[in-house]
Amino acid sequence: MSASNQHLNELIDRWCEEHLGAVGSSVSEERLDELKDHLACVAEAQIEQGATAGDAMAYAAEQFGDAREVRDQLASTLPVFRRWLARIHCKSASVSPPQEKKTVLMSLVFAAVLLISAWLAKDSQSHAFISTVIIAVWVVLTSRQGGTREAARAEWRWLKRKLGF
Amino acid sequence: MFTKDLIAASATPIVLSILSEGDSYGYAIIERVRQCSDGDLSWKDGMLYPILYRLEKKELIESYAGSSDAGRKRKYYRILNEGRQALETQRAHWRRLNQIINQLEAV
Repeated sequence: MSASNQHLNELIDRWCEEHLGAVGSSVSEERLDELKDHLACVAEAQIEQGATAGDAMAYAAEQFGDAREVRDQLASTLPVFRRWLARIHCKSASVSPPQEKKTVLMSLVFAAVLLISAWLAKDSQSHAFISTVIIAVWVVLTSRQGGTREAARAEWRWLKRKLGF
Repeated sequence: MFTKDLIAASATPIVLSILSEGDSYGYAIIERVRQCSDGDLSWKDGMLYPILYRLEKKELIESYAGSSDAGRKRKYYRILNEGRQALETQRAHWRRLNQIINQLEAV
């Protein structure tokens, strides 16, 4: 393998990491290889015309356009639990950067509220009730976020399919 | 040249038509689109894969593993009988739409 090809492969790997995130490392190798092959084909055609590996990769990325839809589709092929984990790590396909920040912020607020309520309710008989209320409020708040609602719908569809409805 | 909506609506029959010519893979499909539209259909490459995933999920096409001349792993797609039927239906719809537009133009 030439140095140029090796450099191109590194650039392609980096693009996949940046644009597919946790989804890229969770989907089947076959799916990922397909995207890498595509980017390599476009970039190699540019290299044949005299472009450097960097310029060729930049062209391939530009031609590819927005990778979010591909990432979303790939995410939907993941098992529910892995998709959920990817979401927790804020690298899920369907969570855009502003939503990621919002999700992290809400998680921190939720954790803080739970800790405070645990401390306040430690001597109370109604701590189970308070915890339930807090969790219910959390569910309502998160369900108002677009990405979460879509994920919930997708998971409900998956569940119905698995149950044979 | 074409609107985004028109490009999206025509994408499925175009992909199925290309696969009805023979098995193919992502990059070659995109190149075929550019070639047969003389560049008028400017697809972003990333738009193709969600379409392929959807068609595969609907069992209109299937994929199999292969390799490129350089030895790279490559995924090929082939159209299934259900895909050919769907293509015929879509072609009939597009022909009918074309007929309607021509008819209205003639008025």
